[in-house]
Amino acid sequence: MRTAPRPLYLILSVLVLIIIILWAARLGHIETSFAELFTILLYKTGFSSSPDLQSKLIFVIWEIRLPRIVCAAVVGGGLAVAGCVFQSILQNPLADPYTLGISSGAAFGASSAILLQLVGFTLPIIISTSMCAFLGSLLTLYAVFLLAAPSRRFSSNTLILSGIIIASILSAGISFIKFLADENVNTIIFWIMGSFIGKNWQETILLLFIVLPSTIIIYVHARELDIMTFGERSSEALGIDNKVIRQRLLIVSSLCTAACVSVSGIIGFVGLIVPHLARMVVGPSNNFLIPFSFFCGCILLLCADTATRFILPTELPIGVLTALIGGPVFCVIFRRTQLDKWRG
Amino acid sequence: METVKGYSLSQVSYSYDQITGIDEVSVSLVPGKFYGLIGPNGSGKSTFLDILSGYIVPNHGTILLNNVPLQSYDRNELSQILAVVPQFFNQNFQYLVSDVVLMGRYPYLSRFSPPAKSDFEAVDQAMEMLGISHLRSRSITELSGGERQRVMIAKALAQSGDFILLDEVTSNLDINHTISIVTVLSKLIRDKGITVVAAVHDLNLAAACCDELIVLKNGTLKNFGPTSTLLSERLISELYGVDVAIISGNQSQKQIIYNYVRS
Repeated sequence: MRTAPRPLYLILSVLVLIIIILWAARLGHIETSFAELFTILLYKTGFSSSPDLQSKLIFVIWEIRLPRIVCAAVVGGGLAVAGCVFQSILQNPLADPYTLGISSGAAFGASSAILLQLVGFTLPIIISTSMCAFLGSLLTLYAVFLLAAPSRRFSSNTLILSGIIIASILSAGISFIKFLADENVNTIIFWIMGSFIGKNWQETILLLFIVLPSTIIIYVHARELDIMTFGERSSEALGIDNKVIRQRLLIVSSLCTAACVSVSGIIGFVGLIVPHLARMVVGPSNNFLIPFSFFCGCILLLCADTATRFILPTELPIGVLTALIGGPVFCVIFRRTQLDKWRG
Repeated sequence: METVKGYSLSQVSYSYDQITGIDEVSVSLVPGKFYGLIGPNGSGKSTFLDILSGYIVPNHGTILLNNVPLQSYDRNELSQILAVVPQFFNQNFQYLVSDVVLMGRYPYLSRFSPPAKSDFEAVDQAMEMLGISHLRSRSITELSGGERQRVMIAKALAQSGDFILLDEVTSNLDINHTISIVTVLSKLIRDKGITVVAAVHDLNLAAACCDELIVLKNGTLKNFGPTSTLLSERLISELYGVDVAIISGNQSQKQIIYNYVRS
């Protein structure tokens, strides 16, 4: 499938992303023309003076739609890049950013916070639900690392098993919290299913400050990621310290995942499918795969969010939508690659 | 002190979970030779290679490489003089053959610069030597086992080290490719003075191409010396419990003959 030069695909994906961002910013209950949109963008970025538009329209575009659009795109990109890292490090094409239980940790943290609020316990303003989700995922990562620590090289099987163990304990915890929440369980379920409703610039900028540096750090390790897919003996023979690099990249990509999940809730399948689709287009070399996956993840999740926001009659939780579309798509990819293997 | 090139192992032992892998092995390996590592299954050949490559650290004993303790090498420095072709490797992703061989140049690349012309030349040369140039734009997952093995050897050659360790790499290959690989290695030993240590199961291959044999049994060094004097009917029967006949073939090369029916 690799016909055009790989940099061309990168440029193409950036262009598509820009077009979709502009297109998505127009759509909504108040339809906007491109002229109005550009006027608002120029005004808000300081290139032109106060435009001759309703201040309500300006508010809707700049304070409601754009932060949500940017937030959805960055979460998609962050999850996709984290997916690339997990698949390379765990040497397993079926791994995703949630394999180590980070999503369960976030869900546990968020539901604990929601439960505390429900029983009338007022948390300090700084400790929001998102903050608890973030802390929950970091603690989960720490627990997984502790459990896997005796493994001399942090081998992938040990990590995957540790992740499964911790995640299953946490899911039991989440079920218990849901049980305690009784009638108010909806709030927890809704958080877990994921949503970009009401995302503001503050959260979005905070997210950008975690996701962009993580992506850059990961990109800088593209060669190591390539080599590490061949196994430990091969990569050590080339001078790579498996344990150090694995730890470093798992921490960075988990931070990235934790930031995404705590802002948006658990959005499945993006981190699994986007790296697969991207690999089919630009091949497995991480120096192209990582940026291309990032942009594809942005495009995919932005389209999905716009669909829930504008196209569908009622606002479906985005996590449900990605799983409903992503699951079957993955089945098709999986089946086709399996068939290719048998025929090959 | 005069610098001693090559490996010098003294009293090296390695055990895990109270199972002895390697027990008090002392050998010196000099540059420019083809060393064959033979012994029955489970005799510690792979463990011995892991120790030589620094992948595992022995519990006791010292290993000097070019007169410097193996442990004191910087990883990157070591990977520029020592290449390893493991027996098994994973591959789940469709990397192109040329990209895989280029990974052998990793020790020479700085993080922020792309590979230089000299790196691509080394890659082309390695692929040329192993006769896989025509596979360069194929993906590694669609190759046969033997072709993949040659790609991994090309990757090790692209590393341009003075030492190459191979763990039963010819066991997947047909006789034609086995012969061409040992020919390539022998040529490198002759022309560039590199050292090859290879675990081999095929005793005829060992007899034909190895200058010296390292014979392991139950983790201990049973014999060490020139192939021509060491390889005997008695040694093989002691090692494997199989009766063989050794005859002189072409160019007085030793050939080992055995029956596939127990007498």
